[in-house]
Amino acid sequence: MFTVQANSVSDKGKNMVIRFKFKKFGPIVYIGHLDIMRFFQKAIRRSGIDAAYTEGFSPHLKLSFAQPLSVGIETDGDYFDLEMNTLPDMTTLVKDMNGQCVEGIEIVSATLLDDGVLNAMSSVKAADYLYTFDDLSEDLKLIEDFFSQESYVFEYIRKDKLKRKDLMEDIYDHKILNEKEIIVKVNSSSAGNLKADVVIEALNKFGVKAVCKKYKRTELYTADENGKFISLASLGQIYD
Amino acid sequence: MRKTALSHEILMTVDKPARYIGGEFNSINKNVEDVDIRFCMCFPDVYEIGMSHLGIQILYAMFNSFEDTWCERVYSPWPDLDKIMRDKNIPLFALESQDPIKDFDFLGITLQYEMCYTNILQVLELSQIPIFAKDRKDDDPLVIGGGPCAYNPEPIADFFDMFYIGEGEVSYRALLDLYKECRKEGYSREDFLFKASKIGGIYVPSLMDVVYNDDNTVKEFIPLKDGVDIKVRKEVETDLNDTYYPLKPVIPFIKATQDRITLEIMRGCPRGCRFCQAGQLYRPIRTRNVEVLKEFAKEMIQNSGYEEINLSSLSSSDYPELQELILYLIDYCNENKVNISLPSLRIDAFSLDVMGKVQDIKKSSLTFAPEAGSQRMRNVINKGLTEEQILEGSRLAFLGGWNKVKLYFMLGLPFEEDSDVVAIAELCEKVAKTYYETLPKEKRTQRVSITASTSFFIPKPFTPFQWASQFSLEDFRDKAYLTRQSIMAQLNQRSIKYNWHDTDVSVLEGVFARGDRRLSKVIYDAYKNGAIYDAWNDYFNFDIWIKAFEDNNIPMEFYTQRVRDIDEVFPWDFIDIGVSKKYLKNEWLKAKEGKITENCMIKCNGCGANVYGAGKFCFR
Repeated sequence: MFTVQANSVSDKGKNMVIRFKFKKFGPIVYIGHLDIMRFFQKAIRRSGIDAAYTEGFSPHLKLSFAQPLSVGIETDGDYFDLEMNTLPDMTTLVKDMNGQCVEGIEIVSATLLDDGVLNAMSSVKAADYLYTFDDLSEDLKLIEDFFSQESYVFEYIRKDKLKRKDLMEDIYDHKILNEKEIIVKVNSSSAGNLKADVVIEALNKFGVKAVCKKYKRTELYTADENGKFISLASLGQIYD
Repeated sequence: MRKTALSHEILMTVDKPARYIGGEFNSINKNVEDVDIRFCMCFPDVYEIGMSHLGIQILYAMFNSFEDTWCERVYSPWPDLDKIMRDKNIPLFALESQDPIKDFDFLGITLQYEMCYTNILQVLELSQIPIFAKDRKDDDPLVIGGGPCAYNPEPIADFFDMFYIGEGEVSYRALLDLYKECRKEGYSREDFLFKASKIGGIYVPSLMDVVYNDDNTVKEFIPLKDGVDIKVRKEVETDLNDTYYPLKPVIPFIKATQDRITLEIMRGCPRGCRFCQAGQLYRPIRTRNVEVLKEFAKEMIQNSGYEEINLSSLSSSDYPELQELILYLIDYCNENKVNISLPSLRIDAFSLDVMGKVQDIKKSSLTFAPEAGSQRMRNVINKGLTEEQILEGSRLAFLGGWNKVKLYFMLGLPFEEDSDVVAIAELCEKVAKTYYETLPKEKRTQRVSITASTSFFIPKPFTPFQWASQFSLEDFRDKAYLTRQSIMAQLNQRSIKYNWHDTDVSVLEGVFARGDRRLSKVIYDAYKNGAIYDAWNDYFNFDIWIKAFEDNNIPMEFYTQRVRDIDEVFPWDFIDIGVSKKYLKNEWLKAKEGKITENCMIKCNGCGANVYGAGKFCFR
């Protein structure tokens, strides 16, 4: 159904793609996805690394972002792939790139991707979200009940459209960290991305009284050949 | 971590919250305790417009290079946030620190166009600073205006403590030093303003009274205090190679209107077009050294990451080392994957060659600004562009593969007759005909596309046309209609597209351009009745303005259509821009006779701007 594109490989047969993992926090969360892309384009150009460009009158960087994040949400683990002409000094790359960033945008690590790895956008399969509530102590059992259902068909409205989804198909895992925080792993593939706020809406509908104060994305995953979720950063040598 | 003045809920409600959070790359943060002066620079329009303005970036770089000063920025909140701030009583804040502007020492407002005047009142009111200067107390910020509209500051005089007439690089240091000095001893606003009025380029409206004749024209200007000199002389940066420039420009997160590097190559213009205010205000001509420009370009490309660079000046074709600069930039920019956005150049073999290198010919178009359709009219306005030049330029361009031509005209120029308007259509037709004559049938890949755009002429202060009457709204509409009819009557009319600008705004712009102090009250009333963002078609409401003028018993025609006596004292006559009134008068008389004045790089015409002793083309 979807054509999946592998990251291109240089003439020498060596993969020349670097996957950057970044955080976004503070006022920067109000910058939309497209503007974050524009920010990184400029930051990459300023850094002076030898990135690859498209041909033509207005050459563009070959950049691929994993998964857009809604305005207003923090992240500890978002990704983009950048195709290179020649490789920079990988040991100082994260530091060098951070020199071109602003408070609230931080490169966490850079992975020199192994050959044949699919690009970030095509390979993302799941995301972790960390939800912070005012107080969950009264709701712990209810939450366990919610997540242990075989099926939970939920109806909700997004962009004026009524949507109907069996949430249990898209919720892969959960963990109650303490009386305030839970972490949930959801489908984040391009085919079936489950928006993080739908989970809260469903929990409330299910009877959870605690109020979710905020949530953030903490990690994005792809799946290995056995279907096991592995961090998008783990498909090559990681530098941080 | 940086804070935001607005809550999460508000930022999630408003359109483009990135307008209000600051924190852009290259924006400057300082420690409040480490500075003596907090200056907030304001462009009274929305963020994306304001962030495109070079002047503020220059002054931002300058102020922040001073150790004792922290300069921040503020723009007009969009109406969605405006309403929330009023409802919740949230004071307007500066982007960098997110602190309320009312706690600052200075609020500097750039005056780029007349239609932003109500937004000034919005910024003052949202900042919780008294709108009228006379109501401000010692601890309110000093409100200072600058930029092109400051050359006739009178319509907004009541809202400002000071105006800075001229280029900001020159006198601000002296002004800040005086402020620090005055702050040391028991500060009084009045005392500071009096002393400030003695600094070059500083005009303090509260120290001058205007006396009117019975017919409401200005009789004279009177100083309100002993020792006040009412003549204010424009300040000019004499050496563009040794001054402030934003080599690390602030890079907005969201796309600004001008999403590129601006490289200012010169100030001033030798052409002397009689309708053009900038051409007079920014005299004398000063060029920036080509080697300096090469370095600036390199540094700014490295420091910004922008994908495009734009050369800025009033007449780039007159920059002496233009070829060298452009050829250098083409090489450097190609290497660094930066596009060059060319200024409007005189069309010749060189410029076409350059355009072919930096643009996609199929997509780009050729631009001419004849401003008037007939040669007679172009002589009246002293636009030294002939029909032969336009047609020859078009011919070369068609041979080079272009097939889109844009032509810019003005309607309602002084002494304009119907035949001059019809000539606009005829000129467009001649360009179309040139296409068919130049290219044989088999070489014509697409139909030629000609776009004619007209705007309505508005007489501006300090131009030879400051004496001219502006045409009425009805005249404007008739002229646009006649232009359209004439174009439709041409043989190749299907290849000619015609656009024209709105008329109502032109009338109001004409009123403020040559207005006097009596208008402050009108602007205040219109603002209180809901006028805001007048530069935006969606928000401009002419009815509010008509009512405000009626309520104050001031006819707009007094400022626009009235025939001015050659010896009339104008509300802006107390300002000296170097160019003498005598010279302008002479130009006005020459315009009547359709006599041209030469490019002043070729022959000095004695305008008076040489008193500044600046630039290699002007001699004392």
